[in-house]
Formats: sequence, structure tokens, C-alpha cells
Amino acid sequence: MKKILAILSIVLLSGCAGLTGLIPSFWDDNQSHRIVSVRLDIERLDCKAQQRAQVTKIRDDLAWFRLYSESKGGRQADVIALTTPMTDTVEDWYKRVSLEGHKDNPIYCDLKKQVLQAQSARAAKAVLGRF
Amino acid sequence: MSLQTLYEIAGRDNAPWAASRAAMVIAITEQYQGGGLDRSEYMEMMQDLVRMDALDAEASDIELKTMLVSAVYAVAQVV
Repeated sequence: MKKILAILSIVLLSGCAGLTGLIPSFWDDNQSHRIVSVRLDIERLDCKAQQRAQVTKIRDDLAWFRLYSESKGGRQADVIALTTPMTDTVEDWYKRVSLEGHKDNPIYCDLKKQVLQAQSARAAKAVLGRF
Repeated sequence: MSLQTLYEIAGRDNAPWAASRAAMVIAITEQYQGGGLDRSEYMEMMQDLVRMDALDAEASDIELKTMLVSAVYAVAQVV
């Protein structure tokens, strides 16, 4: 009975027009797994090695996360908005390494890695902390 | 804001979030000034730091909403 009441409260909250934005997306095994994969990709970045393949891997994992979330439905807007800044950060890098005649800059890579480590840690904490 | 101010913020123990962000700005700026980054790379990095603020705001929003749902659930368990 209590569980029904709890579920009913959440449903009622989500049904109120003014409170719709108050209901977050809920725990999802696939999203949790993928956001940690993104963190792992970033942790493993080797700035002495060729960058393009490594950046492509992060980009693909973030694209998977976005496509999966979009496919799952409207309640996922919060986690899509959460990962968009990271996607933009990676996209800029991907465009740069995809330019013809591009030469990898390890200093740029190292700083980009630091930024992405901070971004992905924050994003993963929010995704894994959901109810 | 001068680099000196950023160094002061980076050294603060009571605000680890601000200290970490200031340290990143310093590292990026020093590399630019030393020739390690070109102008477009430097500008892109600064844009990334602005994006971090957006991501942080979204993360805080999700965490707050999760707390609200947890509280509703907990209250319902007691009633």
C-alpha cells in the first residue's frame, strides 16, 4: 500500500503541469554502464599516441548515450542536457583532428583530457546517483 | 581577473571546486603564453571551461530532483 502511495505521489507530481520539470529521469543500467565507459575512454587517453582513434571512441560512446536516451523517451531530457556540454567539447576536438594535414599537439591533448576528466566525473556522479 | 587572483583562488583549501577550476585556467593560459597552444586551441579550451559550468548546473539540477523524489518516497513509507 505504501509503495503504491509512493508511486502515486510521483505520478501525480509528474502529472502536474507546473511540476513536470521537477521529476528527473530514473536509474538506468545501460546509461550507467555507458557513462562509465566514457570515463574509462578518457582515463585511458594516451596523448603520446595518435589522437584521432581515441577521440572517435569517446565520441561514439557519447553518441550511443544520446541516441539510447532519445530512443527511451521524453523523460530523458535531463541526462541528454547533462552530456551535451561534454559532447560539444569532444566534437571540437574531433573536428580538429579530422582536418587534413592536422598534426597532433600533446599539450592540447593533455589539457583537453583534464577538462574531459572533470566533465565526465561530474556527469557520471549525477547519472549514477539517480533514484 | 589577473593571473595573480587565479593563483590565490587555486591555493584555497575551503573551495576545492573553485581551486580546481582556477588551476585549469592557469594551466591553459600558461601553455598559451608559452607557445604550447595556438590561439584557436586556447579559445576552444576557454569555451570548454564555460561548458563545464553548464554541465555542473545540469548535474546539480538532477541531484536536487533526485533528492526530492527520494524524500517523497521516504515520506510515503512513513505515512
